Amino acid sequence: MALTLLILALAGGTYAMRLLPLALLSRVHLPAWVEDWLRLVPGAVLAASLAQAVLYQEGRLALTWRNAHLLATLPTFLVAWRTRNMILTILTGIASYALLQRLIS
Amino acid sequence: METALRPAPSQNRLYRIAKGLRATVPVALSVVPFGIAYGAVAAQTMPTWQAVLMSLTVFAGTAQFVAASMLSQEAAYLPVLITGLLINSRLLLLSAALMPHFRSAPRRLHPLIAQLLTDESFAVSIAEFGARGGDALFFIGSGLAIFATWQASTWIGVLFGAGIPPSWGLEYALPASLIVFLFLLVRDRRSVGVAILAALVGLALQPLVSGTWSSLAATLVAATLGVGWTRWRSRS
Repeated sequence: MALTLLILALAGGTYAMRLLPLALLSRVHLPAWVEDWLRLVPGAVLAASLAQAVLYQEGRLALTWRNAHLLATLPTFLVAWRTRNMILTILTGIASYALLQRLIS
Repeated sequence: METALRPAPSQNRLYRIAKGLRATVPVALSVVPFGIAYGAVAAQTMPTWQAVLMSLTVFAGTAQFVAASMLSQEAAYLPVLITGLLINSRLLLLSAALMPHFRSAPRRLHPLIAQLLTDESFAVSIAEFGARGGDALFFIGSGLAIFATWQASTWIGVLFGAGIPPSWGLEYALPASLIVFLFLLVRDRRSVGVAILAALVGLALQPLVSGTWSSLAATLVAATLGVGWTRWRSRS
């Protein structure tokens, strides 16, 4: 039940963000600094989540070559940078992580 | 007799929807692996109907994927909700950027256009509209292509994802997709700086602030500093 509420709250908030500018912005204009702030937030939250996902393992900072999550970011970044292709990048990430995990352990 | 020679308006409408659909098919295929990965992760933490409900109502890949992964690591609900909404806050900008193209579209289409708004349809439609002016029906066709693909690939992931062994590394679809989105979203020097700052502040806060709150706090701090820096520079 609580999880259903979480899903519906996420859906409702997301829907409001999709609809409100489209429906209202012909009359209201956001201040420039709010627009600027909104432009920076998604990249920042993705970068922070990524850092947590690859650098924090089992509750501690894992800046070592035995961290397969961290090492696999190298080929993944490279492919994302060169191709900007979603499928290729995800497949590269999964394949290199699977391979590194086997090599390291 | 003259009217009989013109295509019926309903036919014309279907044609415009179909045109948006067709233009979006190649992009729609690129969401398939992502949808499968989401379905597979979601199936581990929630019943099928909730995983499907999330795809139908939230309909935003990165936010869904991050939410499902956080839930699989037993994160509390409130940080999951806030993280998801912050990731989706970019939709405010996409919606605002689309608005001038749909000024002449019937207002009753706005609720449907809004639910179908994704990065993918936005990219395809803006490219089309740049040349010829906006068409709400083209956008709806494009949105339906992504919506249908996302629902189908979610189902595939939910139904068959459990059979995928962990050694295949499917969990790495999350960091990999975050990396692609970073490259797509973070383009100028200042946003790169803000993103790196958010990552570092988040890591520094991790031992002090419980769980995922640290990335949220880091995001707000970094984005605010980014805005402040620009305003300070433009003043001096």
